[in-house]
Amino acid sequence: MKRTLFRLQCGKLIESLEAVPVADGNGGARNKTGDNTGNNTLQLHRADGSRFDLQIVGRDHDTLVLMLNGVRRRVRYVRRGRHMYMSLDGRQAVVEWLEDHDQDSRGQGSSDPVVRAPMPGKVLEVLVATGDSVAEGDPLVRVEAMKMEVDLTAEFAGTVDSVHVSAGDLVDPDAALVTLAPLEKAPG
Amino acid sequence: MVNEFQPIGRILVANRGEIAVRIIRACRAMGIESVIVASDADLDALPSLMADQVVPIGGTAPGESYLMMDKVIAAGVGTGCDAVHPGYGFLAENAGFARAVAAAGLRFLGPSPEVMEAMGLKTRARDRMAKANVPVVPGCMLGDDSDHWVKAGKEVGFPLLVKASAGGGGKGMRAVHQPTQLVAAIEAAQREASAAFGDATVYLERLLVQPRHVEVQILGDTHGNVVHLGERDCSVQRRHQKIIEESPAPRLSDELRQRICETARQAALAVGYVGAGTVEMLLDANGEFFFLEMNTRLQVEHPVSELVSGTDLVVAQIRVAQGESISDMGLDQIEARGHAIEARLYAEDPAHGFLPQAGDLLLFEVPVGPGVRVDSGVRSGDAVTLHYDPMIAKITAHGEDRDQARRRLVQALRETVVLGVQTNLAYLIDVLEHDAFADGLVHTGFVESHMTPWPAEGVNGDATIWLAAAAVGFMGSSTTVRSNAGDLRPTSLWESLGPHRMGGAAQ
Repeated sequence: MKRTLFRLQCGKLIESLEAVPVADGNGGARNKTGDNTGNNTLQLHRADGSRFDLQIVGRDHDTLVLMLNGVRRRVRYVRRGRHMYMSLDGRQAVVEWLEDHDQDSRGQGSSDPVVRAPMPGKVLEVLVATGDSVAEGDPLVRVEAMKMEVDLTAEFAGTVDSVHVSAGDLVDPDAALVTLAPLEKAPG
Repeated sequence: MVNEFQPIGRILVANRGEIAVRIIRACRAMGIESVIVASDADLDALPSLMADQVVPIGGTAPGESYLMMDKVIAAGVGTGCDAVHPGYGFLAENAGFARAVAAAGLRFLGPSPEVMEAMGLKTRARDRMAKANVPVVPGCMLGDDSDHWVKAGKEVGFPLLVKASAGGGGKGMRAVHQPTQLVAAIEAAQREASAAFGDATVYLERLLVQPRHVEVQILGDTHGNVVHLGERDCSVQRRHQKIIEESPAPRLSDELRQRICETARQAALAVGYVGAGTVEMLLDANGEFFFLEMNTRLQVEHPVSELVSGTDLVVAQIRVAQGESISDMGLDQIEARGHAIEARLYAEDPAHGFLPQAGDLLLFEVPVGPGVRVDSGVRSGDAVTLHYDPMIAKITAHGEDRDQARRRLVQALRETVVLGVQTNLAYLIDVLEHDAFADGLVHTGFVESHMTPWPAEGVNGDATIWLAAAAVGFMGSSTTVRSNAGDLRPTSLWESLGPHRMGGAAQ
């Protein structure tokens, strides 16, 4: 039975959650859609050592009913395409399914190497060229959207692997703008 | 201007979104028919479903739709409307539009074009107000003779700003806190202004430190009467746009409150104001207040004044246009009751410069409960597009006192569900729950002083683990997951470390 580590990132704050399946004699049954519902029980281990027993009690098209350490609550959600949108107490979260090959190309715990357009807009200026070294936070592309100029920055230090757009291009949301290659980690 | 009773039977709503819904509701409450103009993007929007008639005017971008005066007026004439309500934004403060509406034989629900013009330009409005003895931010032009500079500085008062006449973008601007720094600062500003704009003319203006934005709702009739409906504090702003507004303003003495409101009323009287309007002031930490500008229209944040004064301002606008007087409407004896706070729910990303967001509202549920009011122009399934204002809703709570209103609003926001579009919902909750806000210590630098960076560690509290659990539990079995752009930072970037599975067969 395999343990799974999830990482939650809050700005510079990173929290890790380990999901440990609890043997229920059924190996964690999966329903037809491949989601974990029904009689599935997990134990969540937080980095601070706290533990939560999690059970998905039930769900309909927009509500998940969870039991966490014996407390039952409802989380509102909608799934569309690769995204799952969730809300509880005015806090929103989006989770995205990744393609399988993404797993292999991603470094351990690294951020997405592809910098994407956050919204439809126009590329005003490309601030880097292929081969440039960039530090975390360096501006890469300046885009204009809703009459606002926004600099899209590098999420991690690395080199510019490729640039997909040029000044004047109109881009759709999620369009790839720049691909970064992370710095190689020192061995050990 | 109509000053004997002439009823209005049908109104053209020259706007969209929540304010169009608001105006249509007021029309219905009065038994008046409503006609709305709709761009291609808005043909099936909520206002179009509510109005008695819809006139498609084509286009999507405002310049091709709601700003096309001829089309808008033709819609009103063609459907036999008596009056046009411009809402806010778009054509609401366009004197040329008001004139064209009148020329087409319709009543414009707002002040006269002359008043709109007089108050439209900030510099002209400032001179007009100074003449009417309304305090304006002290300032004076500077000559070449440096002997006069120190005296001028003393008259303006410190701290002050040296600003370039031709200026903009902070160039040629200097803050001066001590009289001894003044001459050097003026010379530096002149050099900078000369280099940047080719014009070395500079002037002095008092620098207000962490001022509050306090504004007064006024209402004038066609019989020469003006009343105020109390003040609003709209200090909590991001990117110079209000996000939380309340009435009455917290931490004001009754004496100061009355002085501010009466000054605003006099300002409106001085220009012969008719209809609903707002006089915006800046209130300094030492209790001095100064005229900022006048908005010759209904404001976004009017609900807080409505809740506290028990007045329907849109109905009042319409009745004024029918020639009714302040006393006809019973508005000469307004008594404020309780406290109201409004939060503006925007499709935007507060963790990334409040960047506007677009997308589909896959699920949108608004709160209900005692003292809770929601003004919105969208429903579940609607799209939030980048063509128009990204405001999704105004959520307002009314309570017996400020703290009750604040707590009700927090609860209302917690019950609000928006799925599919990133919003500032959690940000609003965090502002309302901040100790400084709870204590009424608001000023225009609030967001920079107290909310940066956002989110602060731990603010998401319990919700984090629940949302995390939902995601793990829902999708846990065989997929790698990653969250993006979540409002909830701790779960905003989900990543699994390496390929994983949970229960089930190995991949």
